[in-house]
This record gives sequence, C-alpha cells and structure tokens, in this order.
Amino acid sequence: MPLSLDAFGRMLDETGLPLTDAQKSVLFDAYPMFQAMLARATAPLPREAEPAVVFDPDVR
Amino acid sequence: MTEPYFLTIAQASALIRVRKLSPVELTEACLARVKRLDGRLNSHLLLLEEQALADAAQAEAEIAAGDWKGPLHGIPIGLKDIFNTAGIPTTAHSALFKEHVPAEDAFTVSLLRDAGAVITSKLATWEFAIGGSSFDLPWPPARNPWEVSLDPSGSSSGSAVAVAAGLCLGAMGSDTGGSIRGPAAWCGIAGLKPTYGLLSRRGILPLSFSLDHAGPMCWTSEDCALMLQALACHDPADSGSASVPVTDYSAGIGAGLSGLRVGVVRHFFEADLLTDPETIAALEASVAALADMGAVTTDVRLSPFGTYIDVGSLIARSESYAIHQHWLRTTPELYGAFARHRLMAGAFVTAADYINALRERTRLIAELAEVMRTVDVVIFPTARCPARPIGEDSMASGFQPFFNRAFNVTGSPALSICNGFSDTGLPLSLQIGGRPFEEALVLQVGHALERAMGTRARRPVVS
Amino acid sequence: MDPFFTIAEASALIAARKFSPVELTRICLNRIAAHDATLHSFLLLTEERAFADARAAEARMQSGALKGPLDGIPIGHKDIYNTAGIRTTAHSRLLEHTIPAEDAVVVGKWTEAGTVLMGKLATHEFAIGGPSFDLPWPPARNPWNPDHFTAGSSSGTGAAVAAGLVLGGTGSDTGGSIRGPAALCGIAGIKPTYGLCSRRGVLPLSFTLDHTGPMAWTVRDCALLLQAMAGYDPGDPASADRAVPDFSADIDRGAKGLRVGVIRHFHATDNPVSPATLQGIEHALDFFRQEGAEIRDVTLSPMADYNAPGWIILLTEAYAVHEPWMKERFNDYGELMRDRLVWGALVRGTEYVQALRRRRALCLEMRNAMADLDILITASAAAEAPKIHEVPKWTMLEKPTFTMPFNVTGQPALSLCSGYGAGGLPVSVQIIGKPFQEATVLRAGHAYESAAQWRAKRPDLVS
Repeated sequence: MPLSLDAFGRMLDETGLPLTDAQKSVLFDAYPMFQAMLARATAPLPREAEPAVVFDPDVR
Repeated sequence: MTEPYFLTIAQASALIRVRKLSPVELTEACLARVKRLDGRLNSHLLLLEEQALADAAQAEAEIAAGDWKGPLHGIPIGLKDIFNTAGIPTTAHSALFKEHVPAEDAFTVSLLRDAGAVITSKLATWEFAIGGSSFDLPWPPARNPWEVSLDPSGSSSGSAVAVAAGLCLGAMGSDTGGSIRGPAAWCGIAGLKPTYGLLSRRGILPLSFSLDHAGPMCWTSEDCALMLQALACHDPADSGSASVPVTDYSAGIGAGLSGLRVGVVRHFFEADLLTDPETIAALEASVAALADMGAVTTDVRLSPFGTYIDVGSLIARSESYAIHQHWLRTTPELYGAFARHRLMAGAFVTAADYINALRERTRLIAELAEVMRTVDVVIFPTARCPARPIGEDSMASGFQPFFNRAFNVTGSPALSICNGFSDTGLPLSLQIGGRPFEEALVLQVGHALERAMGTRARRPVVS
Repeated sequence: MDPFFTIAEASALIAARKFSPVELTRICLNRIAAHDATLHSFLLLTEERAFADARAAEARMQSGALKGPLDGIPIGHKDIYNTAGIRTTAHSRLLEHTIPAEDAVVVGKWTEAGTVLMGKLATHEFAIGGPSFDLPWPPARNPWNPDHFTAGSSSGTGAAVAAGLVLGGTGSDTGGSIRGPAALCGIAGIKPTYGLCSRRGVLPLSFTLDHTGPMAWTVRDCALLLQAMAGYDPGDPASADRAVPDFSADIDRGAKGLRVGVIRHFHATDNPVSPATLQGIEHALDFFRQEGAEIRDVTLSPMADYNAPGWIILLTEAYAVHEPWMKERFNDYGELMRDRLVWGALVRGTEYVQALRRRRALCLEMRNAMADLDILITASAAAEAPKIHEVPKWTMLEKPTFTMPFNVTGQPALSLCSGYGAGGLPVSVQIIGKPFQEATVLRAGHAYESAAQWRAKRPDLVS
C-alpha cells in the first residue's frame, strides 16, 4: 500500500530533522524511487552471508 | 583416584598418553553419566553415542600404535548446537532448524577432530544463541548443576552445564555478548572468549558478525589453553579471521606473576552496576592473592559499563536482525518468544545510530588500548551475583547480570574463572581481560588464581 | 597564446633547465585571470603561495636539486582537502571560514614532491550537493561549453585541468566524483584501489566508499601524480599496508596480450549510452583488438544492483557524519545536499548491514568475473555533459551510474577521453582493473590515449 503524504511526513518527523511541509512534499515525490533502491539493496541473502566491512580489534 | 569424568583435560591426557587411561573407558564414563544425570540437567540435545565410541576406539588404537596427536586425543568434547556438524543435526535449539543437517563441519569442529578429540554431543543453547532461558522451544532449557532450580545462564548453557557436571571434559561455546563467560560464571567453570578473529567463525550459525566469537569452555584455565592450541588457526574462508603467528598458550601455565601489572576496573562494580557483596569480597580476595604472588594491582578507569551495553546492543541488534529478517517475516511462529522479541528489537535501530555506535566502538578500543599500556591485564567480576532462579528474568526485566559486553565490543580476549563460592555454595566469578592476541597471559593469570583460590577441587553434586 | 603543457612535458623541460617553474606558474595564473570568471573552478586562488612554491622549485632546478617529476608543477586541491593555514570550505556555508591547522596527508605528500599550489578548487557541497546555485560560491562550468555541467563532485578540478589552469589536481571519488568530471570535462582521472591513497585530512563523505585520487590532462600525468599520492598511512584505518609499485615503469609497454572484458550490458541495456559514447567505447575496443588484446563480453549483475547498495551505504554513512548539523543547521546546507542526505536518515541499521552484505556478494561476483581478465571496459558517463540548469535533482535515484559499481567493489577505475560528441563535448571510456593493479589500468589507458590523438585539442574557450 502506498504511503500517504501525512504518514511520510510523520516518518520524517521521527528523524528529528526540521523539515517544512514544502520540503517534505518534494521528498515525498521521490520516495517511491528511494524505496525501490532500498528494496534492491536489502534483498534477502543466505543466512551465512557476511558483510563487506569486517571488524578488526587492532584498531589504528 | 578421581572418577574419570571429573578429570581435567590435562590430567586425562597425561594418563591417556602413557596408556594408563583408555579413551574408550573415559568416553563410556562420560556417556553413562549423561544418561544418568541429563534427564535433570537438559544439557544435551543430541548424544552421539555410537560415533563417540567409535572415535574413542580409533583414538585408542592410534595411541597404542604410537600416533599420539596431542592433549585432545581421545578427550570427550561437546559442541554448542550452533556449531555445524557434517551429517548430524544442528538445530540452534530452534523449531526453525529442527531438520537442519549441515553438509560440512564448522572449521573449528574439523580442527578438534584433527586433534583427535571425541565429539560426544550437541549441547543446549539459547535459541539461535539469543533467546533463553525459554520454555516454549522443542527442547527444555538446560539447568544449573549446582542447583537445578537455578538458571545456568546462556547462551552456551549446555556447554557450561555439561562441563561442570562432568558429562564431557571440554566444550565449544560462542560469545556475542557474554555467552561463554556468563554460563561459565554461573556454572563455576573456566570460559575463554578469545580475541576477535583468532578462532574461525565459519560453520557457526551467525548472530552478529562483528561481535561473534567462538571459544573453549573447560573446568580449568589450563584446559582452555589446551583446547585453544588446537583451535587457533587462520581461516582464509572467514573474512574476520586474523592471520597471526600461533603462540604456545600453555607456556605461561604455572609460571609466576611477579611484576605483573593488574588493573582493577573498580567503577564497573562499585559505581556502574550494583554488585553483590560476596562477589566483591571474592574479587578483593583475588586482588590480595595476586599481590601475594608479586603482582602489582592498581585501579584503572574505562568508560562507564553502560556505554559498552549501549554500543554492543545497537551493533548486535542491527546485525542479527539483518540475518533473521527474512525468517522473522515469513515464519515468526517458529521462533520462541524470547528470540523473536530480542531479534525484533533490531528492526527499529536507525542506520545513523548503528554507524555512530561503530564509531564509538573505535573510541572505546583506543581507550582500552591506552589503559593497557599501563597494565598487562584488567580484572573485574564476570557476574554481579551468583546464579538466579530459572525463569525469573522475564523479557521485560532488562536485568543485566554480567560485565561481559565490554570485551565483545573491543574484541580483546577475556576469560571467566571461578574464584570462590557463596555462602549458599554457588560459584562466584572473576573476569580477566587482556590485550588483543595475548590469550597466553590471560590464561596464565586465570590458572594462578584458580590455584590460589582453591576452587577447582569442588564439583557440583547433582540432586 | 601561451602553450599548454602536460606534466610529463613540463617536467622534462624543467629537468633540462629549459623552462622555469615560475614562468609555467605565470602562464597558469594568466589563464586563470582570463577564464576563471567564466569557469568558477577556483574557490580560492593562492597566488602568493604559488609564486613562493615556484621560486623554490626554480632554485632547486638551478642547483640541480629537483625533487622529481612533480617539482615546479602547478596543481590545485579539491576544497575538501585540508590545507594548513589555507581556507578549506567543502564549498559549504557551514565551513565558509574554516582554516585547518594541518594538511591532509596527500596534500603534504604533493607539497613534499615540489608541486606549486595554485589554490582550492570548486566541489559539490561536501562532495555530494551540486550543481547548486544557493551556496556562497557558484558551481564550476564546463570549459568545453560553459552553459554545460562539469559533473561532480570534483568539478573544479575537472574544469581547471581541462582548461589548462592547473596541470593536475586532486579529486575524491565516493560514487564517481573523480571519473564523472573527468568524463564530462574530457580529461583523465583515476579512482585508485580503496586503501591505496590516504583519506586522512580529507573531509569524509562515506567512510567505506571514499577514495582520493588524481586528475590530469593525460593518463601518463595521472600515473605521475598517483605516484606521489599512494602509500600506507597508519593514521587512516582503511589504508593498505603494502609496497607501492612504479606506476610509470611499464606504462609504455602497450596493450598487447591484455585480456579485456567488456561489460556490454552496463552501457547497452542497463543505462543505454549516447551514440558518441558508444562510438568511443567501440573505438577503444577496436584499438585493443588491433593491438592483439583478447576481448570478450562479461556478464555481471545488473548495474542497478551495484548502485543500490552503493547509494544506500553512501547516503547512510554521510548522514551519520552530518546528523548533528542536519538537525541544527538544516537550512544552512544547500537544497541539493540536505534533500539528498535526508534519505540517509530513513535507513535503518539493519538495512545498512544488509546493504553491506550485498556489497560483499557483489565483490565476490566481480572477483570471479575478473579471474582470467586483466581489465574491464564500459562507459564512465552515459552521455555528453547536459546543460547545467537541466541536471535532475534525483540523478542517483533515477538511473544507475557507471562509476558506483567500482566504489562498491573498491577496485581501480580510470576514466579517459574517447572522442567528442554532440556540440563538440567530450565523451569517455572507463577502464577497470583488479585491486591494486593500477599499473595495468594506466598502461592500457595510456596505450589507447597515445594512439587516439584526442589529446591534440583543448576547449575552444581557452585555445
């Protein structure tokens, strides 16, 4: 179900960023594109798949 | 003579090597004890009786033929059930993995087999190493051998229970937020979380990539050193594996502590998390014992323990949710309530908070490194109090019984040992932390304190 | 009219004492005076410093103490590179008056090599927000036609090098910020392997994707500049501790025997390129074929699959860096920057982790695809430069870029001119190598470039 502008605005409010309604509306128009990109970036992977950035306890 | 199942690995292997103890008899003694006691302890999800006896017989034959492979040859070892075993179910104590039979051994398991160890069992864990102690899973939770109404803690609960009760001589655990050291503390054994990257994570069900550590759990620090020797090996197939020279982890066992600089992280237990008087008294007695042995103790200061909890939780939640997200969405009913709720918490962490937690982690590591220029090891309790009744810590309580997160966040080695007993006869605990890859020193201090505090003669009596 | 020089040419003349660095610097300053009011490539001109550097180089020339091929060469730094005592703004109101105390590591290295610092060059705000008209400085313009876009974010470097205002400069590349402007301004720019060049003292955009690298008129000049930029920096946690090869040693060896993979689906279907861009790619491939290179098509995941985790990681890490200012000084940022970064606030930690897991899978795919290849070829930009007022706000969300895949994998990637298309604007080709195989990439690029003759012409504006 597509998100309403109101719901999108509430989601932005949760970030704590001081956005005006006009600014929210500009972002709302691009939101479907962002969602599509996020979905593509986070598609399921095998349980054992590792992340690209690996922790090293010998921090410099 | 001590019953064979109560021998330490060091004792048993010395006898096996000179053929005064048969690996088959030792294995049979452990198996019989499992059958006799585990109905009350619930530490075993699967007993590998036939295979263990065959392996023990093979070990015996090899040793008889003069092919002694080392201190683990013919020694009964159990595995937390998140370690993959080829052709043998590996369930993570979860309905979701009830039918899971891996094709390959975890790399650490194959190293144990190469060392001649006899794998006797797949041991109870919290579900996926996070959800427990739970009563809504296909298997019941493990029980504390010192008093079966008490919680052994987790997530490597079966490993700690089995070792303490003499059901096997050593076990593998894993530690993402304290899952080796917590149960080691409450069950009165030694448990080592090595440096991140020293032991391969390949073939162990992941919980949180950058915080997951595999490690040995044994009756003594000396035994942890023997197991570690077989397990420390660079694994190019594990992206987090460190390529460091192998050292002799037993070299310092029994050596003196004269001149050793020990830092006491006093604010952890005096200011940050309220700690019970008996635990503090045992710590002070340990400090006195260290001084008697010639060590120099000073108080040191790190960030408040709460900072480690916050940083560790933000990282662990985000990483473990990424692993489980697909299954939480499609088959949430196959998780127990604890695992489901704890994993679901990861859905709400913002990426900025996760990244800033990683940046804070870097600062905490640098801070510890700075402190470790002035001392060789740091000490503080493992548990704030002895074991609590099982089922008492509800999901909502948020009670933090352990000082464990710190060394998962920094990735440096930490050993939990038993340094005394409460008035009610429950084990008390001490944690020894070291610099990255200085496991040998940490184990040396653990061994010395176990000797000085005289805790290793007392075993639980399972009633 | 003053002549144009490449670094290699000028450096040979200086070494032969036939040409003074002071004279060369004067030529560049004259050109800046004549054209930068149109091009806006400089945010700050450091004329006095330039003459001081040039006179010092001249003195070294006269005393036979030249430091190497970069001694006396006029260069500029993208204004996210910290310069000690010299204003460094990131092209942003937030840092409008910031004067760093220390040089970025690579700035120091170039100074040490004897370069002449001409000034600080325009960028997109914090290397992401542009082309913007609501910042304290206007955006840079394309010297091939000032109505057109330079691409970003190393826009000032791209424009200044193409117009001969400097002979080389620094860029930074997080999703294509070196290769994009190199492509649209018709010059050469290389994004080296992640970890080859220090990032310390360069304002971060996205820790795990940020690369520093050189931009110049020719590939050979890029090799000379890279030589003075590469090397281990213990103060940069991502820096690679490995020996730096001589990037010019084999640069004239030609393309014979190279195994070339063409990622045809990237530029044919995933984001179809302009006719002239396609012609340029084919022109380059014809050259390699004639030289006896082995050429075959390579199929990877769709280009959008590489872009998606790249942009999610970039926006998220950038937001984590800027979060405090985004909350307190939102409207001090330009509109493009703040609106783009808002997306980063909407990403959850677990999604970021998931994007990092996808990234690893893509790195493995790329490694396998290149197992028996030396270089890959595709476009570096989809088409000739658009008009600067017609650049869409959400380019990164709308179409996948050709550059981001190699920020995701971290491997070296070079953009170089492959002809001229609509309106006489340059088109380009991208040559990609295996990690730390910059020398191979530069050799292939130089072979094509020196055969192709595209370097014979400079923009009409400055000719």
